[in-house]
Amino acid sequence: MAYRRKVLIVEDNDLNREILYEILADYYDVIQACNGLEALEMVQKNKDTALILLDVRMPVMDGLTFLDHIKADQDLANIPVIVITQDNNEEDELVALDRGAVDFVPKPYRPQIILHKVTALITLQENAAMINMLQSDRLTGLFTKEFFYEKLREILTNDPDGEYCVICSNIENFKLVNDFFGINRGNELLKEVGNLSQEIIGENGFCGRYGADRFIYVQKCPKDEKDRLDIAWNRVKKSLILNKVVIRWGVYYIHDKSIPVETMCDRAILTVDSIKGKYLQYSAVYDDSLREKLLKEQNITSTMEDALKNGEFTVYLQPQYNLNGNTLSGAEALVRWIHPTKGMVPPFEFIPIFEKNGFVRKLDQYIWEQVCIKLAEWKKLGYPQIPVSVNVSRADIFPGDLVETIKAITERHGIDPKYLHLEITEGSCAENPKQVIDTIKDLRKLGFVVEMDDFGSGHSSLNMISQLDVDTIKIDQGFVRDEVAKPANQSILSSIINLAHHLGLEVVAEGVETREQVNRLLEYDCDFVQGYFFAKPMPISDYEKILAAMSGFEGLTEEKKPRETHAKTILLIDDDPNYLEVLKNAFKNDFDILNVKSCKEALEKINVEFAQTSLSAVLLSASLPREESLKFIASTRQTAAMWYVPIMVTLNNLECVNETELLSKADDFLCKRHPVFDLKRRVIRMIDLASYRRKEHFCDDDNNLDCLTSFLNRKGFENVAGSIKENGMPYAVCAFSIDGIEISDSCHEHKDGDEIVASFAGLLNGLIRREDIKCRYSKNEIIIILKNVEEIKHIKDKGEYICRLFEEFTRGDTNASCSCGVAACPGAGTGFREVFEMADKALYKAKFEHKGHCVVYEND
Amino acid sequence: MDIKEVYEKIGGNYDTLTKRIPSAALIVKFVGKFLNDGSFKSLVDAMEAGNVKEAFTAAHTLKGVCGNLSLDRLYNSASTLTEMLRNADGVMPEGAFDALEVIKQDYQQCVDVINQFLAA
Repeated sequence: MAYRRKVLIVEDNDLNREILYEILADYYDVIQACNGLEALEMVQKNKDTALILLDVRMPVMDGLTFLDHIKADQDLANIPVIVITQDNNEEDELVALDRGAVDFVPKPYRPQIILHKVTALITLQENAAMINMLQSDRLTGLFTKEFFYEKLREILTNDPDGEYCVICSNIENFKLVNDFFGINRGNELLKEVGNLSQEIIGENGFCGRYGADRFIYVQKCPKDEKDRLDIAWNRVKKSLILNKVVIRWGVYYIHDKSIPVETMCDRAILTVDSIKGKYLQYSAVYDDSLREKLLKEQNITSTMEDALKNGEFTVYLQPQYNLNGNTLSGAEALVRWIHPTKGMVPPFEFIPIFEKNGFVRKLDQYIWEQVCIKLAEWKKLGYPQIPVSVNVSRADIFPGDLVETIKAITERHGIDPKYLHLEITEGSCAENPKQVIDTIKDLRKLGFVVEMDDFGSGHSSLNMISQLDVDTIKIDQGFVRDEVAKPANQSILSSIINLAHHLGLEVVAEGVETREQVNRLLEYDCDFVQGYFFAKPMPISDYEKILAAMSGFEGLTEEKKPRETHAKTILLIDDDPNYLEVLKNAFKNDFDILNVKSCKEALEKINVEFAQTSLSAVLLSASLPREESLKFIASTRQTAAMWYVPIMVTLNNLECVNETELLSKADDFLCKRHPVFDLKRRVIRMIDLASYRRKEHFCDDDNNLDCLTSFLNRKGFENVAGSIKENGMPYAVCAFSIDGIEISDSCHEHKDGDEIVASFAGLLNGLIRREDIKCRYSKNEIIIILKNVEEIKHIKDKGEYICRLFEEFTRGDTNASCSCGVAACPGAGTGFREVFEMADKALYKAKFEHKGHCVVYEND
Repeated sequence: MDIKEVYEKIGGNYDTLTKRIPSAALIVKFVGKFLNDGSFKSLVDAMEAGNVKEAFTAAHTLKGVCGNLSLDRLYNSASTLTEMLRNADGVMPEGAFDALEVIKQDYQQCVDVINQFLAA
């Protein structure tokens, strides 16, 4: 049944009313009233009345009064009214039309005409309403977007010389307003903004509503439009019902009237968007750089799908290292866009765009696939199974199918979830934390390892760490850089790391670039590191070379093999075969010598062979080409396995001291002419110094070292004492006492004897293995703990030898002497304290009964 | 007797009416309803009460109804009295009651004929 519109007949005479009813009843739903008052009631009850037929002259409330009433009511004013007049009374007709009637019909009734007019007027009214709807936004009454465009075209055509600007305003975080205060309040706010806009723009232009929380205006504008707006809006802000609401606007001055109006509006919108979220900046003026930005963005958006299809996106891997064992512990997968003509497009140029338009989902899934393909390949090739981390964006989580998608990918390639680490930024949680928390939970249940990325950048919260229930946190590089720049006692990084550890989380530091940072991170007990200092992100093929080299070690399957604690090889980069022999002889019992004849060769091998060959030191000849040498040194700083390795430059003669750059980058330098003893001593000392930077959880803290000798001080020694049991059995303790010389009490003064003590320390360095523990127990007492001692007799011989050497040192001074007491740890059951006391007793005996000699403890 | 004949007898103009209301059934219906119209009675009561204003309204209404139904003869007599009473300003004009007699006659005739027609 067709929709029948309602018509109200207002006529007091029954018969007339009936006649009218009969005329209309076939086409309309007729409702009737016999006087003005009743008519008012009827129309209030039936607000959807399409038309009113009104007899003008009626009792109780006459027609004109009724007309006045409904015209005053906003809801009813639009209902068209036809009045019925009599006697061809023109005056009546005019009055009625004046009061708001749309038309009149005379008596006697002419049914055809009445029907016609009723239908025509209803249609007219409805069309008008529809146009109104198209033209005006229902809520605010401002123009709709399309109509605004029309009006703008019109005004520009009609006034070709006039200067206009398009302004777009945007309510910040309008969604929050709706969420917190409810949609009704939100709508009220919009209405108010609409009204205020019209007030401000006034006669100078017109206003439209552009979107949910955007308004757009056209104004004839003076040059200082922006300032005027600023003032006007500040005034206005105070009257907004929610006066904390922030409104921003962007102004686009129209210079070129030939551009489409849609584009002009787009530019205004672009301008307001460019200052979104910017603190204290509420307005901006369009300039072409914004357009450039937009063009670039459009360019990227239009080429991204094809780029993905054509494989222009590749995965690079940046290695991650275990800071304790200095082994490769993982890699982060990073996307690179290698455009066929533009070359490498930096990620910051396309990632934000993809995140905005959702393409990042496709890209991320592509990366996950590629990584899983590689992981499967590597497994097949027998490479060590080391996990790769991939990034997960908010756009991946939001649709809710992340878990299935990733699960499917790993299953398809036969990858154990624990080898695909997932990095999620804390920022992803902003809108729907619960969803992220649940997703992480589900992922971890399946065996995936989840890492919180970019911790410390922007809006991190400590609470989030525990709420998100991740496995690892990655500290943002900015945070690392800033924290290390502060003095240690002002840094909160160590507290964060502790906190993470307490919560059972591991910590990765990103963006590690300097040795200072590494040292600090060691101090703070960070677990893993990633950064340019170790390795840049590299193509997969380069990473594979590293993996391939690692798998040369037998037994290397699932577990990461810890690096050997004593290094056994010195690398000699020299093309002089004689010197090779010298070195071989010098170190024949202690080190293997690996020789390459050029830095070029060394560079080739650096990522592969050297990575796992455990070099202790490098001797680099200064006579080799300088550029290559510098390159080599720089390379070692970037290769994890190499940065602990000290480099000594060897010179043929003293003139080479001009090679200042080379020398400044090396750890030490030595003339080849030096005696072998000196060479050994210097090299070993250099190695030892380098080793102090390693983490043996007490050695790196300067508080634990003696400033004169760089041995442990007593505090450091106490720290160490407890750990002896595990490694190094059986061990022996050697206690030396230097007597008869004047030694200063602290680092701040100087006495002659200090040199002797320092030299003695150097001597010991040359004679004692690196992994043995050396301590300056008091100003004249030095304790050595020798690990893995086979025969105590050897130790006694060594001790004796040292005392003899000391004698030679101090030939001129008959008072100076060095005595030594040695004690071997009898068995596992004996505590360190006991052995220490045994050595002490032996030393005492030596000092007073056998001065200048070594005594072994005997039970008596 | 058909409706056309009714109209002839009571001095109505059927032809004009048909042009305005083409449906004969509808005309018959309206004619029937005419009998229930109260404006005649209101007029008589008002005149007897001497209420000039009300008499005018009633006469005007009666006139209108007759006009709608093209009852020309009654229309004319009602019209005459209406004009007399229009600007009477509260004073019953001379000849009003005479005009009323004419109306009464014409009205009665309509009623009789219509009743006859309806009974058939």
